Amino acid sequence: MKTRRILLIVAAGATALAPFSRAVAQARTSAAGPAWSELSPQQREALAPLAGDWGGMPAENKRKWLDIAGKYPQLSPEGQARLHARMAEFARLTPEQKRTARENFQRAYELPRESRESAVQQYQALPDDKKKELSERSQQRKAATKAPEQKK
Amino acid sequence: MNQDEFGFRIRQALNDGAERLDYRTVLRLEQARGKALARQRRAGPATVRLPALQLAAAGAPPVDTGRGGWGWLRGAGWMAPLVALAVAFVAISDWQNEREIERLAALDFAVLLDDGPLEAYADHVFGVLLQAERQAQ
Repeated sequence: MKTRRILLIVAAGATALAPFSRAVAQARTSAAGPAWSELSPQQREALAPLAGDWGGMPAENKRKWLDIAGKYPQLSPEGQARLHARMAEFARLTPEQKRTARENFQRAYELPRESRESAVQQYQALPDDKKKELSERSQQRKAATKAPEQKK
Repeated sequence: MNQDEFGFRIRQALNDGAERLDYRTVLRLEQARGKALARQRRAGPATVRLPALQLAAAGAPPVDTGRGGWGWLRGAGWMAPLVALAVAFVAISDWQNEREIERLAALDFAVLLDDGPLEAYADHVFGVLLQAERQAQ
């Protein structure tokens, strides 16, 4: 009776641990994400500008880029060229800059085309010292509005 | 006759009756007692039937769940809801993470295909200018 019980416990344990060990193995692979060599030729072509940075990229970023790579074949040759031209530049932005880029992009598309273009022209016409001054003022204003929120 | 005295009389009457038993009756009673004690020693300590999830207190007689050797397995039943809850929690968290990655991928894809300069989008100052444009409307 005792031997039968021990055998049952061992069998149940092994059955329960089999998916767990598979999950651990998968988690180890997904912790770093797929290596560049593990990508398909189509994915490597779509993400070619990122080849040098791929190894040091967090797994979640890789998943995001692989999602984008899936849309690449549907683009026109001009679209593909534009995506490639901006891809590496975007990948090198800091997480804070990426967050700002997404916010500003969404804000820009809430405006009519003329207002959007006007803001771009104003930005490009600003001298660097003026940009710095405006940036500091904007940061201070953000910090001032965050402070009372944190006190709540 | 009060209650104490009545009890005393009863006891005395029973003792007198026991002394007046004939030797055959005493012998049969003695044999029956011996047999009963021997049977109890062979059977070991008495077992108590309890519901499956009721835990035996320390020092209590062994628990017989009434299901032979499988009773121990039923004791682990309380863990099933906890395991199900943990699995559901991990699955929901995974699903939310996946949705967030898809949302970011769609947004980044649109930013990458846009005409606007990336340098401007990534700068707080451009946000200030957009805000000014919005207020001017």
